[in-house]
Amino acid sequence: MTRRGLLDRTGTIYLPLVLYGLFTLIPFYSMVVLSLHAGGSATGAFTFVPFPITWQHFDALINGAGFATYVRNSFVVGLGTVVCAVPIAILTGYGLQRFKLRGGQVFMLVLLMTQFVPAAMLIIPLFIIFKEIGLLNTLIGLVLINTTFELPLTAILMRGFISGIPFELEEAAMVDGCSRFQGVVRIVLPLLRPAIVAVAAFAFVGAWNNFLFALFLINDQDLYTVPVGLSYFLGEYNVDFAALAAGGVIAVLPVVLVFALIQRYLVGGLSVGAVKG
Amino acid sequence: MRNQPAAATASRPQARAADLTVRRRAGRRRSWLPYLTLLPASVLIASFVVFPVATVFYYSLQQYDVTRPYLNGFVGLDNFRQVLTSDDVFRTSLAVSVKWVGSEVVGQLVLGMILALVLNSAFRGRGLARSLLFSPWAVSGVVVTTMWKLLYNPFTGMLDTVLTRVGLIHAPIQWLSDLDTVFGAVVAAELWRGVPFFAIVLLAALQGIPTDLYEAAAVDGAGRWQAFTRVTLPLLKDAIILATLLRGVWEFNNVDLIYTMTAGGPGDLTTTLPLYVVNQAIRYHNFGYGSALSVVAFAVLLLFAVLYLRLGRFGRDD
Amino acid sequence: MRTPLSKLRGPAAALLAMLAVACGGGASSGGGSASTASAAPVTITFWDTNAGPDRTPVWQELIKRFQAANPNITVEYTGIPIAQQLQKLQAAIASGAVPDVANPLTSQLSGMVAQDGLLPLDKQFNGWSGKGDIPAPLITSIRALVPDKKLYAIPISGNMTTLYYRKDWIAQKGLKPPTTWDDFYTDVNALNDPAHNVYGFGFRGATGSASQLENWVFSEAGLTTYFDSKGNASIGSQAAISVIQRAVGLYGKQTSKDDITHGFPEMVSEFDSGHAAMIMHNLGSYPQHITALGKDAVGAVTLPALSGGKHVLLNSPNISAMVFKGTKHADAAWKFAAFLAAPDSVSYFNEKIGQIPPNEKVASAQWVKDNAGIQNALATQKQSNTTLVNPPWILPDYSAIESQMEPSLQKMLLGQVTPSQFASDLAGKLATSKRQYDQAHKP
Repeated sequence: MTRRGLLDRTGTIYLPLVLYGLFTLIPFYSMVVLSLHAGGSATGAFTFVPFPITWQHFDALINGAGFATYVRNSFVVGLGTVVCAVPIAILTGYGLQRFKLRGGQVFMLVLLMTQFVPAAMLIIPLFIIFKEIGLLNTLIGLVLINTTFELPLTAILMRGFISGIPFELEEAAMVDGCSRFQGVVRIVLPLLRPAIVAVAAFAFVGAWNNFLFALFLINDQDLYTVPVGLSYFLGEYNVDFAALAAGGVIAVLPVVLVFALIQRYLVGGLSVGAVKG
Repeated sequence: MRNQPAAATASRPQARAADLTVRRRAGRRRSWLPYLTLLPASVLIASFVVFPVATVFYYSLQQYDVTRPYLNGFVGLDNFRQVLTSDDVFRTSLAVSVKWVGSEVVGQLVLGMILALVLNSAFRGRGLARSLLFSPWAVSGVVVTTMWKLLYNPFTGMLDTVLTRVGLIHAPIQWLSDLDTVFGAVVAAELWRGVPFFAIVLLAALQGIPTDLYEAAAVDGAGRWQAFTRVTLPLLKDAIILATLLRGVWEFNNVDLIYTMTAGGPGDLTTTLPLYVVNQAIRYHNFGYGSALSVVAFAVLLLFAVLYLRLGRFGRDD
Repeated sequence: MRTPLSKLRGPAAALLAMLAVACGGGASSGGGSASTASAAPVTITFWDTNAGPDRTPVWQELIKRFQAANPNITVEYTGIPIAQQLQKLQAAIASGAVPDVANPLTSQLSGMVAQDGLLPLDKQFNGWSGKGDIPAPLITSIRALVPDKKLYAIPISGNMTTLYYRKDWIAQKGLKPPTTWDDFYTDVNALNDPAHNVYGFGFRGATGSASQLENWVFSEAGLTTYFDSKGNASIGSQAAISVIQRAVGLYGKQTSKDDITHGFPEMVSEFDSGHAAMIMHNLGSYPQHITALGKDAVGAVTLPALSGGKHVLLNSPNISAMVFKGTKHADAAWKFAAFLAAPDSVSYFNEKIGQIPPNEKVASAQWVKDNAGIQNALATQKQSNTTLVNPPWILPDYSAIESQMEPSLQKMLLGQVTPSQFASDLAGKLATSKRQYDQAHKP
């Protein structure tokens, strides 16, 4: 059985894993090599190993291009988006799921419709709105706009998770004397915790990687986020591939680390009921 | 009034409890309270989405070029007429969009499903594998496109260098210039980025399937494939519908990868509809015409979303 | 630690500055009124429309120098990637949230003036001590770009389309440098070596392709005017079509097939990594080629001459300083613009980026003499049998038309569109645009 079992496991687990792993890691590998290699800035030419190694690209980024500021701004926007998006997603998802509201399906469509127009078309009116409200050139503004555009994903997913939590549990709590709100807080939220982590991850990455809004709605270089900072290396006459690679490494490391920490929750939690829809 | 969930057995205490809640609610007359839950989302959408989208609809009826005000003005349905009857690029770009969304969603779904199934099994280093294999989705757009472009470079890129070294090819393949390979090349780059989304959603959904269902299927003599199609897939139906719809809409409207890799070329080969919209409205300053294109795309997406949800009977309780 | 709330600091400071200025009696409205506001601290915003690793440090140094000479003025630098700069400027003008000064190309001028976004600088320029150093024809040509013929931009850098070639390979093979078009085609063929992955020419097939081809056609076909007297664009002429045919004929044979997707970075990478013997670009990339290949390997000349030795060259737009209409510190903004256009700054800036200083006082600087590309460009421009043609930047959609032709150009390389179709399509668009413009601006 062991020989067969090993073959079986190889076929169904290890082989696909290795193949897909190669596919995933090759671009990462070339990115890391490029960021450490001394030559190749101008042409981005491929080398198998990054020798001679240099830290100059990372150094140029952090000390020269002020990347630390961009990373910090991205964190602020990312975390801010999570703080705003998750409660609203829970609220909206709960409302759509628990109260079979008239027009609930329509509201879901409305949520989807916010994604139907390419973002580039919305920039100028958004710019005007932001200026009138006074949100132009603020990180809060970015947080709000990212929250808005992450709404379909976060709210609809949350709705799915909530549907997997049997309403009987809340009912039981209410029979025991809790108000509905207390029922939600005491029963639903703890069960939703892993789902919250998942939605938070989606919201964070979405805000972290957003380029268009960050570029257009911010005028102050000190408030630029990482994607905008990275685009700086795509000059008209000069693409600094090595710096871009280094920037990519810096930009992705925090997110990957966070991922590594939460991936265990991601799985445990979405389990509660994304099944039922 | 909300429906009661179809409970398997409505026992008397439960029925009484349900009655209590109904009476309680009726007594309080707070029938608008549930709608309050939609308030924050509605405020955000009303503040930031309604006006901008409305301007797109408004300008679709105009000739609007901000640098040539002497031509601007109301043109009624002329833009739409041109889009629907005499714009070849519109037609080809719509076809390319369909091809693009189809390949991406199906590709990401299939690969995501495989990945999810693999990462659902127990093996050593699973946690590490998950973190690594999910990470492409966390990489910034401009980095993804630049890295893949470098990979595809026939002079200095990894792919052609390795393939030539190993002897599989004799002349470098022009991945992004060759008409036969360019679409696949761009699709592959986006796949790389997008599969983790499906993998995460599906992996989670898989966790919620009770193992006794698989045991029952095994007892009935079902093979692995049958277990998959009879047990797994039906229970994943809603997750799949949700993920594919969200992802489909996103892939439809996302231009950054294609734009940076090929700018829609060579010719119009990789020009999707939103790329065409952005070209017209932003690069060529034909904002009115671009808006009309955008409205047409909007209608297409709306139709697709409605049909898709209906066909999938999404959200209907079993 | 900065929090989002600290963003109020900027507007608050600006408000205080404005109050100070108002109380100090210096009005900051457009004119050249004697500035008593110079004592109050002012912060102006400067948007760099071509931010990147090689340009930004240069601007920051210039800002440092300016601030040293004007201690009461602080310049806030914001770098914008070139791909989005026009849209960002347009959004800013549309909403009123404009910077004080920016550095766009003069090719963008007519569009921005049409949006009523810029401040006319005639009074300030006429009262400026440095005005005589800037070539008068250049100023006239900038005025000619807008309907009211006012001066909305001060030029600080000029450019010219340049043919870069591998001087070392030419010498090795005993070939003549590509100074005439016949030599060009001879050299391209002789240096072509596809078996070793080296091509005679690096074609620009993607972004910027139509513009580049247009330069090529004007030079090789010897088109001395852009529009003829009837308003037809000369790019549609038979002479032009023949040249296009010949140029496109190089694709895939003397150029790599991959060139169809080559924008600037790929084209330059092809040349700098030794896979192409010649490329066409402009003076701006000369420093980069020298860094990659060494000074002795890179030759830089203007586009070749016709068989009689005569040159026809299409002009390139100028980087210029523009002041925005919504500025609240017009005097400080003008001061900065004038500083950028002054000989010292012009010399420093253009030396660093390798472009032509549009300033008489700088033309004789040593670094200008040492830059082979610039020397060649200036010398060719001065020749009596050289014709310089101005593209129709007065048409606000000229650049948009060039961009629109890019997919068609690629189709032409693939053989799906004939050069004749391409040329007449382009000519037609240009003629239509000119006709619409002329009609709207009838005196």
